Amino acid sequence: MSGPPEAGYAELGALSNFSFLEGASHAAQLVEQAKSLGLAALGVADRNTLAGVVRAHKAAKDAGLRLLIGCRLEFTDGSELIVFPRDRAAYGRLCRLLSQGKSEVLAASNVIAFPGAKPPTPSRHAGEGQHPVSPQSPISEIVVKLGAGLRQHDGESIVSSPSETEPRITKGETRLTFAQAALLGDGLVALVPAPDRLDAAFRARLAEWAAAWPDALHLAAAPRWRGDDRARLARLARLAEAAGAPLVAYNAVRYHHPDQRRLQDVLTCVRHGVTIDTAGHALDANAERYLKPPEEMARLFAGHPQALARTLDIAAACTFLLDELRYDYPEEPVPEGWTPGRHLIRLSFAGARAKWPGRIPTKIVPTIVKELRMIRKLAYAPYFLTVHDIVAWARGQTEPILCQGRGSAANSVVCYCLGITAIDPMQQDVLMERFISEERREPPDIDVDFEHERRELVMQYIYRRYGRDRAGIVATVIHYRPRSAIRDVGKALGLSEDVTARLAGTTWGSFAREIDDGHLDDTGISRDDPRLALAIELARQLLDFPRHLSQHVGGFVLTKSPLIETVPVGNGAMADRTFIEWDKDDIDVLGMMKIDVLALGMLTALKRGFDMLRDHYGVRVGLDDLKPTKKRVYDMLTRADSLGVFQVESRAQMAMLPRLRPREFYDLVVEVAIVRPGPIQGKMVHPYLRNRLLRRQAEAAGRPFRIDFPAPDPAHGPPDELRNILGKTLGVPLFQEQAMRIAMDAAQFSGAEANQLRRAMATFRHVGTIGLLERRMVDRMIARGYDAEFAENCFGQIKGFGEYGFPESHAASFAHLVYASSWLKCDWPDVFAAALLNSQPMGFYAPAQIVRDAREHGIEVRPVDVGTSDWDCTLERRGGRRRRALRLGLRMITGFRSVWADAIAAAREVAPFASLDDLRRRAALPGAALDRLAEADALGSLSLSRRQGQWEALGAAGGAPKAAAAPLFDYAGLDESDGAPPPALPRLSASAEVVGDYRSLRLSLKGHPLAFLRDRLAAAGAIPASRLGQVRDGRRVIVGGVVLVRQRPGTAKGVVFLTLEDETGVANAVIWPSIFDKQRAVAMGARMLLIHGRIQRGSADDGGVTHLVAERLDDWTPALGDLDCRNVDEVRAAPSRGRHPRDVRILPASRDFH
Amino acid sequence: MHRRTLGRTYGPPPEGPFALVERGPHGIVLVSLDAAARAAGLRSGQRHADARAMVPGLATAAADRAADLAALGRLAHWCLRWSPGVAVDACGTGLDGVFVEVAGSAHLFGGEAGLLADMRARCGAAGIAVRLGLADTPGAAWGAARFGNAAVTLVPEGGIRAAAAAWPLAALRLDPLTLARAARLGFRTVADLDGMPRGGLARRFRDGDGLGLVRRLDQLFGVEGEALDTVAPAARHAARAVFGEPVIDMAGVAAHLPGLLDRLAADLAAGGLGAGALALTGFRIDGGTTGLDVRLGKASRDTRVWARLLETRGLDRLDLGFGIDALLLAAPHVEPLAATQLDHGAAAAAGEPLNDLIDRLAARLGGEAIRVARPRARWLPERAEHWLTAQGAPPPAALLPGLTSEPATAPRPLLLLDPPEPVEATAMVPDGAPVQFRWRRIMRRVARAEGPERLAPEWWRETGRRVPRRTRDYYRVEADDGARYWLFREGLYGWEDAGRPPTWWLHGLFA
Repeated sequence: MSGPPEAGYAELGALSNFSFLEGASHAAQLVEQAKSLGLAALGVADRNTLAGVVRAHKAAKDAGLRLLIGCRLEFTDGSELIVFPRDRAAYGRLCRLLSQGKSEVLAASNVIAFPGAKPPTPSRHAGEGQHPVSPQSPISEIVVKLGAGLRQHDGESIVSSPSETEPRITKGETRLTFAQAALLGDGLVALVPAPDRLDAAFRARLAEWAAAWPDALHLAAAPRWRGDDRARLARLARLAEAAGAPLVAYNAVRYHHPDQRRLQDVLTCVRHGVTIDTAGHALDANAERYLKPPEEMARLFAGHPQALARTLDIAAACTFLLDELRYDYPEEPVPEGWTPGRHLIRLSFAGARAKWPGRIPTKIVPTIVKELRMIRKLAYAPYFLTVHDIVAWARGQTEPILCQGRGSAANSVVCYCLGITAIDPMQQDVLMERFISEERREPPDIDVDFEHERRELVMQYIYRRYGRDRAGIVATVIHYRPRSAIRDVGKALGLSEDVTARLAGTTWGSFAREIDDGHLDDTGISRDDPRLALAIELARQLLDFPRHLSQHVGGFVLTKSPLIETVPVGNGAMADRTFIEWDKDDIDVLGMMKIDVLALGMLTALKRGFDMLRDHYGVRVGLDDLKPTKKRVYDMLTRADSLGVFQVESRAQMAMLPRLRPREFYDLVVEVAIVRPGPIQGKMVHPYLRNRLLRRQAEAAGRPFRIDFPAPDPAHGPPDELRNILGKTLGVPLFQEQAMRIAMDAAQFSGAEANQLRRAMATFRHVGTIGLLERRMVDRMIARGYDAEFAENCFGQIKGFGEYGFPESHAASFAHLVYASSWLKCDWPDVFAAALLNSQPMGFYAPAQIVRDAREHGIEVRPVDVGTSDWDCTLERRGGRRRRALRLGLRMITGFRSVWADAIAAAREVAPFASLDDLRRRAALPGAALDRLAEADALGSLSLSRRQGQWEALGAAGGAPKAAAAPLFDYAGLDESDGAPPPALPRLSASAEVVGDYRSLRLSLKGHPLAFLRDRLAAAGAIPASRLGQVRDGRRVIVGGVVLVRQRPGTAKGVVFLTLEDETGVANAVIWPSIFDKQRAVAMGARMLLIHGRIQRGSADDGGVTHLVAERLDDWTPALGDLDCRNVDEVRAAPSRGRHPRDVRILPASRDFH
Repeated sequence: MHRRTLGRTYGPPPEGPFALVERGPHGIVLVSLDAAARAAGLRSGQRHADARAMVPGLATAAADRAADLAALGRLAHWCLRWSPGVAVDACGTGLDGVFVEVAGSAHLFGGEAGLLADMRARCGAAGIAVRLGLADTPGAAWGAARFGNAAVTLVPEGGIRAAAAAWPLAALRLDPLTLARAARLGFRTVADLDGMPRGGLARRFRDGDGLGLVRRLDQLFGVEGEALDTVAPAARHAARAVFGEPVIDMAGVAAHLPGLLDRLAADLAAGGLGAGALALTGFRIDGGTTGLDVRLGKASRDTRVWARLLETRGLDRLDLGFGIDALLLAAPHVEPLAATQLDHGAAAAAGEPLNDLIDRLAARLGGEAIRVARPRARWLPERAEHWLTAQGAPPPAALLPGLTSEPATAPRPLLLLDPPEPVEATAMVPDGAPVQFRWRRIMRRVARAEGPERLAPEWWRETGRRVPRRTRDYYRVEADDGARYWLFREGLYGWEDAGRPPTWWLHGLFA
């Protein structure tokens, strides 16, 4: 250790900012400061968590500082204990203890099963005799009692299992008692922080603990600066001696430097929900809780040199490092007597034989062998086996759960043979070695998508299969972002809510990284206000502080030895979910493997579609059976007829399809990947499309087509070094791995450099090293004779990938789903529409557009009706015709419940409904349900119009006594009613009927609202959207419509894309920033717009996409409100007050993406 | 009527779109907008974030409902000039109306039309934009004001049915739920409901929050009466004086007062009553009121007593603004006149509790003048107590409960010097206690010392001349003269403001 022994000091028990809202420095800041101050070691112990230890560990390793990893246990009675494990076993017990405090499920987990753990038992205590447990001590009694329980239940539970009545431990909560902690036994060093009040209760507690934990327990004293430190230290020394718990010096560090005090005060305010002006004594009186140099600590503990020396003893005793964690993958799915490797070989070839009945193609066998060899070498066989096991389970259900794998390792023949992916290696090159490299020694990565509605079943299977003590979901650390930071800081500093909202509102999107000064000036808030300046400054400091832990979307970590002895596991916010405290970067550092079990809505839709195909048409088909070869499917996509299709349904994708003209499966892979920030920022789209066009032209003319690959100077390398990388994509890099390969081949990055680049790419948002790499790559490529622009574009693409990169293997897996959904849409549009509607919400479009699209494809769509509709949308026979009609389901009705639908269906089985009252009685529907049905105009089969239905339903809903008071009438099925004849209700106009449909169903089969405004639109000079296609390029036109989608993509430099819809079709409008800024309010707020603009049509090569470039926007939103009136002259001219928003909200809000 | 609450923190609202905002269940929403904001397409109830996306320059301030209500209350008081029966309208969501019961007072202003004209003119002069409605029932007047065709709508007697037929259902003061429900059935105007079976309507529109639709209908047509919650108990005994020209000084008030006193006294005398309290209200031409109340220990109708009490109470403190054009003297509380009157000081002799004393002092000196000290959880000693207006000050124990259970600070001296006095001291660097110090030119040797207690400055407060910016180390010392002192050194050696050496101060003396 550094420094002379008398000045040596190790700060133990510092809090990092993973003690949420308490610690005010990053672990790395603490580590660096400790190093520069010359501390012998640093002990980081956050409150009831080990969530920050990996970061601290990494920082300490980088800085070359001894780090003690520990935890500040906070017991349910409020007492505290800082513990540092001395070795791996003790660390494991600490993790287990925390896990048990964080989840009652784990508290009951089998402790005996762990071979390494030696939980202290009474016999051990008694036998070894080195624990002088006094029989009167309540602690020892608990130990004995628990031990007895242990024997009784034979390993069921060692700690008091939570009683039934106790509420579930909530996410982030930890319930622990010292009695539990006492079982940690040897191997730990424990420090009792001296509380403010050294009363009898504390003295008694200290004595008890010391007795329960001899040799290991210390009393930790920190100066308080309350004027009595000298006396207090002397008193603590006496106390320590009396209790047999030696005194240890520390400074209860909460931040690395006194300047952090302000931030710490703010965090305290946020924790208590008070403002800084009223926080009073909740704040610290001074800024002393920072890391102090050894000399200063020696001065403060003058007279107690042994208290300082002990810190070094403890640091020396605790040799445990996180590096000692050995990750062992479970070997679960391997049958008795087999090794994982052999089992995998057997499964792979069995799978191959099933895929290629008859004979496995000669091309395939060597690939399988090569892959298996590599898998064996890297010992990844168990990983593939677990993925296989999960997938096989999902497929093996009575109702098989659709799933599909993707990710680097999934791009392999083995995965195809194991049924993890559906990418046929005969059709598609698979290059696993690209992604699993020996030198990188990186965990393989396989993501598996499941049907989104049934993914939870799979997750619960994994918990069951491996046990909650061996399987956990990875955490996601939620960090402070500009919005949340300014909101919390502003509140703590007492800024009024509108000011903080205004500040927070200055950043578009919650992931904006900077609180931009320019933005601040827009808000009209005076920057001279000192409080405001403070708030901004502190919010900047707070950025990137961890705020709380959340669950990763689906990443599982599995272990062979108990996971809960590697990392604490706790309850998630959702019932039945437990997750570990480390996020994916942390487990990366430790080389742990994760399997992503993800949810995908399209798989749900496809599953429903396949089921319907089977039930209605007798067609049996599965995801794997679809060979992506049908020409008419590609033709459909080329027409951009892709509404509802997976991935390629967005506006940008629809615009790309006619330009790309997909003809084969690989084109779909490209299509999925090309409309992404990477290729767009790398300016790769146009070169690729140009080359495709050239190829088409060459093929048409019968000429051979050649690409001139960018090439290095002949002096530096072979001219075709990029052909291997870029051959398939016509000389243009489109995928993440191509960019990587270019870095390695064209810029001659070493393996280590490439690794660095890849990491920078993955965590692009976090680190600034990217600039360095950029210069290195671009310079080297230029030096080797490449075109400077090409080099820069290659790197631009890498930067783009940093955000949402798409490796080829992902794109290929997605492309398969693109094909599957396109095929369904192409051949079975009725099934496709029904499946899509039944899987809502998902995708890009609302039900109204899906229904409209179905009708445009010739599907008869029938309205929701209580006499025929089920909960889901169904298919109905239509005369003798082959194509079925689509019956909308009750699920389309806003606010309707599936239990009501089930009750209706069950009652309908017995007999059709005769009247509303009959329906109410037999299906036992509440008034609200009747009301919803009437609103949706779903009572047609009862001969009730919407109005009549509503009147009747309201009577039933409001007249509770009716049902109860007249059982006789009820029995006779009579309607005693109001004694009045059915009232003469005002008649509904056609437009009001449509509006009513939209209100309840968000769509109408009776017409489009805009049809009723057509006269007024025509008078204003607007043409129908359907006629846009015939307008000459460059002509000025006016189009009116409701706003369907509003997009403001980050890559489009402030351009806003609007999709308008009228009764004839949709119009795609583009608003340039100049217009947008002028008419911002209208562009962002209007639900109906009249757009004056110019037609801009792409060339035929581009697929002839028509855009309306806006020049002026008129807000027609009020016109929508007029639709609801019985007749147009009812529109009141005056009522000087603005219409209530509810009145205008007759159409579903647009979907806004920004 | 549209009011804006001025932003208290950031000055008056700027020109251009401005809105008041409030936290709703789904984030911050606009609650009230000025004309520019409405013109920009914003509306109340809109989410603030959406509004900002539409109008980036939108200025906002937090809405203050309590202040709005108070403002409306002040306006209601001003309306007492037209009638004793004035109520704040609590039906609307916007807190934007006042009911004036004019049944008995219209004749004073030249009939109903004259009254409306007077109201409109005076409100206009006071800078208040109004819509007026006058009808047989409060409900009809409410609707007429809001949905009448003109800014001033007079519904003739018995003419409600005709006038209201075209009004939308919103004129019935219905809750949004009922309104939406009725709209769904196609009922849009009051006429739509005519001819509908009452039973059927009642069954379908009797609901939780608002009054049922049928009941509102009945109130509109006067089938059912409606009681208004008037702002001032309608004093049945009052005298008023209306001036042709505004009275702009006290002399004018003093000139009119005797007449009022006499008329009220005569009124009371007729009933054999005495006033237990008096309320004098001046109606300002700018739409405000000014006034004072006097409570009499014992009912009286001696105008000299009244005059003296009003004088003592502070007649000269009436804020006449730009002038008042009417005076109202009312006896809100009357009782039969009894024999004797107690001496004013007698109650005090009986030993009142402190609160009574505070009340009496406040009556004489004004509420703001009487203050009490209260402890406050602050580390800095001079900030650890503060002065509150005595009336309504919370009891000491009610401050900041639960933030800390620990007696937070070390002992504090009884006498605190304000401001601390500089001393010269000799002490060990960096944080030793003083060995000796010179205060008020006398050198004191320290016999015993304890410390330091380290208190950091309140960094969040604006730095000014009087706000400390450096950390203090406090020491309790006992000097050789036996006295105990509380000294502090301002500034830490080493890193804090190194350019300025630490300084020593005496902050207090222990007993």
